[in-house]
Amino acid sequence: MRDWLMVGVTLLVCLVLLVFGRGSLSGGTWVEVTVIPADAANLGCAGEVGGARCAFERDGRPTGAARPLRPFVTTSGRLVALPGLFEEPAVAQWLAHPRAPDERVRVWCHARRLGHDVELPIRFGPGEPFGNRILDVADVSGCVVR
Amino acid sequence: MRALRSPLGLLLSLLIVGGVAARVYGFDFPQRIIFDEHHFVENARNYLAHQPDRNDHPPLGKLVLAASMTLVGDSSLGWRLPSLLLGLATLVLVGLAAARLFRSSMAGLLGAALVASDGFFISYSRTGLLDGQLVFLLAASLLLVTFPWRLPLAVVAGVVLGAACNVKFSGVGLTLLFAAALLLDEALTWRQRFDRAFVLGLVAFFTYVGIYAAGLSLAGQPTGIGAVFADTQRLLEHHGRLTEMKNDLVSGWPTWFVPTRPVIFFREEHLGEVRMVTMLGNLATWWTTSAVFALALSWVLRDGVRVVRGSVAGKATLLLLSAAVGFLAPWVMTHRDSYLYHYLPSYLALVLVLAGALDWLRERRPTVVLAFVCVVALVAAVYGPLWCGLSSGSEWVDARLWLRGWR
Repeated sequence: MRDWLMVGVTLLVCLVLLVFGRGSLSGGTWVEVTVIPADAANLGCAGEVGGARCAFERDGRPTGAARPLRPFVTTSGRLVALPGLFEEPAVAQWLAHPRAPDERVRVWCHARRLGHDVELPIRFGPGEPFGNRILDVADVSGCVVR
Repeated sequence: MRALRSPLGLLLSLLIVGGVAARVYGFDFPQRIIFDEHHFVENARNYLAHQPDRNDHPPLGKLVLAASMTLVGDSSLGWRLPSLLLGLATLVLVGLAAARLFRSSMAGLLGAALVASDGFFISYSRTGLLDGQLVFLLAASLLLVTFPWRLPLAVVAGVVLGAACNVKFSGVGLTLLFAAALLLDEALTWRQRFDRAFVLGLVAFFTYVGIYAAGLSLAGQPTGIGAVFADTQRLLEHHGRLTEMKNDLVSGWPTWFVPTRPVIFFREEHLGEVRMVTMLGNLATWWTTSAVFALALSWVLRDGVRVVRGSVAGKATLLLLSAAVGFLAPWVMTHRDSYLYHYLPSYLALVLVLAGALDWLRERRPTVVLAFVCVVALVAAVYGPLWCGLSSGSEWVDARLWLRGWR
């Protein structure tokens, strides 16, 4: 009986470890993107994910979001949508006074995931049509311009 | 099925089921080249394109990849499928080998479960590399040496030895196992031992030359026996020059018993989510195996081979030690750059020594053995996600890889 109990408890703990013991997938991490000043106006999306809103509704109407979601490609080549990156104090300060109109900088931010493999209409230019893409969405804070 | 009625048997069976799942789950992820696959997949592509190739190793391992890529396609599925199938077959072979070596079905179950639940073997069943093939041939050899040494067995053993040397030169380590098996078979006269050894050597030679020539032929190169010798000589000289130990991943053989530098095959991190596969083994099995290796060696040195060979467990231990030492010898005796994966075949043999020791202990201290297997299962549950690319939080991953060299 004791042996069966030992095996039962072990299997239960194993199950718990495998299901719940793999850490928080939405825990804090760092994300790095490169941007130029024009990206603030060029990058856009339509809709809402995890409470973060894009600059446009799905029907194209402006949402007036204070920290709009925008699509970025990280330096590791992954497509992500981040809200309010250009509104972060350090980035906003750089955006107000870039060294050159086309200055490219790296931006490091602390990120917390809001959505995984989300389908979101995005575009990389103001005149372009929105196209659906699958991407991850993360909230950002404490951004640093390098 | 009778084993399932005991707590230990049920737990071991579930470890095997979990080990199979860990090998199969998303084994084609990531759908790109990882670690040394860039050597071997490129070699296989060259064979398929009938182009000469600067192979680092003899052809067989890459020919196996090429055959799979022809059947399944030039994709991660194609170049990893042989490792998966051979990895699964290895579980069957080690189970049968351990059961026959120790004449105990529970020893077989223990051996298969310990191998099934170890990340060192799981990771090699999920990557298009050569060492898993070598382990499969070792497992087949361990099963072979449990049969009486009639001439057909010598022929089959010769084919396996020739094939092993054709995967990697370190396959020559099997020679010590076969030599020990011939010497320990008391039913043979010295003349019969000599005959079997001669047949084994001859078949191994022709198997090696035949497969090598086939590889050269596929690559559009000269295929005569002279060409095989010349290319073998080229490779041996190439390996002989690799003695700088400057690669970031090198680890000397004494560190393998810890281990200090397991290779991470890939690590993909995105927004705090990590998917990775490391060759770090099951630490409960690993450290106990290292201790059992030292104990087994001291047993043989203290009592002598003549005494140890007198029992079933003693003879099995001698055979397994000869296999482990045979595969360790090239790295102990030379200054060739060494990596943890060179320990893989030796580790397989030593895990089976551990299985035999646990089976022996089971009759004396059954609860201790059950508790040990419980610990093995718990460690597998903690590290399993890092062996099979399961999504995990980045902070969780770093906490598990607490030794700097493991990251």
